[in-house]
Amino acid sequence: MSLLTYINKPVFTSAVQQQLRKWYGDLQGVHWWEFVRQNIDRECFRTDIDPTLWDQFLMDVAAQYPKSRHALNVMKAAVDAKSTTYFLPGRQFAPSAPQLYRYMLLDQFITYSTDISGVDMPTAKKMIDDGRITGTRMEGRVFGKQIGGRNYAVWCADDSLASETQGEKARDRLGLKHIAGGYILEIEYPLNLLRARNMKICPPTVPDVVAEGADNWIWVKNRKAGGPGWGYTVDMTGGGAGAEGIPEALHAPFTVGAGEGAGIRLRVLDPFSKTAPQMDHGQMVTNAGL
Amino acid sequence: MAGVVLVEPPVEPPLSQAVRALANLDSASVAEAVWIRLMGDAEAFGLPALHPQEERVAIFVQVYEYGDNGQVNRNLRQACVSLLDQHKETVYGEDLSQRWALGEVCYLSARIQSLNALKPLLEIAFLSRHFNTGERESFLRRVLGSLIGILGSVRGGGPGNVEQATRIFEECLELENCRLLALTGLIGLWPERRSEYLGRVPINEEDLDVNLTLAGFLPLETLEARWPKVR
Repeated sequence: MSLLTYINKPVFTSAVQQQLRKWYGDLQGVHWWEFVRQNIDRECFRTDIDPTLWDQFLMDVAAQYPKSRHALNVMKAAVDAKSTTYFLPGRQFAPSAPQLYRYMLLDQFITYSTDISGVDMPTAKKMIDDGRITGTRMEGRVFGKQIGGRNYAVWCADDSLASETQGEKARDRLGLKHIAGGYILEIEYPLNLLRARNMKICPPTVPDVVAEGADNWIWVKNRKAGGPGWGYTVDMTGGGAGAEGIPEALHAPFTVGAGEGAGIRLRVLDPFSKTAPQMDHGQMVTNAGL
Repeated sequence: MAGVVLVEPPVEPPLSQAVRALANLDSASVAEAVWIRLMGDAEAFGLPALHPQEERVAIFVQVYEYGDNGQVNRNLRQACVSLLDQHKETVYGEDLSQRWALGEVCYLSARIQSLNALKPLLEIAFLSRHFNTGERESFLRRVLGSLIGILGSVRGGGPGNVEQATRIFEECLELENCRLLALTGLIGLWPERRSEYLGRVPINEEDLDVNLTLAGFLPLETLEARWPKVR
């Protein structure tokens, strides 16, 4: 369902509908932006977000338009104005496996877990391989990002890459196109860490992606109807049109408690130094398999 | 009329886009580009858009590591020094985002071996040495960890700097969540005083030696001899 169809319901006044049509129209004509639009359409036809909240978001977008010059900034302004309301707006779902996986650059993990910056990466990898740095180093620390007192979503995946050893392959399947090299770290952690805190795991949604000003839109909502459920990464392996990647979801940051670090497993993938495959948003937006 | 300007986003990889954007700038403008990316508009100066999972500072590390442009790297290092100098007063400010951004610059300084950043880093560490709660304490740890990273790279950094760093680390021994870091700095700078410092503050010695090795103060072989492989 396209947004243009979705907004034909009484909750949207004609003035709001008119603003949304103009805003939606601004996302036309450039492949990159049409890919954004595709995700917005999928948000309309899936039920990852409670419809009342999604409707409210669209009304806020209409209210922001055209204060911001740039169509993505319109969404960001709407999220920033109500950052608590639009933090993790997705509905909770229940993954079937008991473990979640998060991927990040080893460099960032070492600074996060030890505070030390400027570390030699092969040495850091060996520390983890040898079990000298483990999940216990995360205890007492916030797992996830908080900036200026504001929470940002923690992106996680299922176990699709649990047997992958090549960092470059993992980078490509995760769609992490901003990474041109380095060591990728896998953090495997129990879903129970979230359950014990009554925290939800939820689908990635459009407001989540714009929350931090992320305009590099290589992320795709599940194309099937229904929800809530996993989103998908864009698999960049073959470049061009891309392919459906691995399931991914979001949760809030949390502080790892005493004794919980032992249940968290760290694994460093093989290093690489190679720019990500070239993607083509024009092909991506017409790729029926994405 | 919508008033919206559409710009076709560049299709080149983020790394080459960033190198190209930074190559046109002098170090003062690079500093501005770094600060603006951290504080809000990621794409200022033609830098690549953010990926949803990307740390704002990460592109500069990628440029340094894989951009293969010596002049850009020199400008980035100098930009770190300027930014630390310009924004050190934000240590005491109420703007959490600015303090967070300053912490990111501290990290970047150590990460890209901006050795001239040692002096402003020492000043910032001195100013923040009593931060002991919440976001301020996290900031202090960021600063101390960056300081340790640079001190480990230069194996000290001159008597005056060592003296000042020692004073800061000794004061930070009093802060529970900074003890391991402070000891890493102290024993890194003064390995002959290891027993004395450990007598003052009990700590897991293996964690300490791991930190010393990460910072570059202790050879990996020494760590492995002291603490045989555990898995």
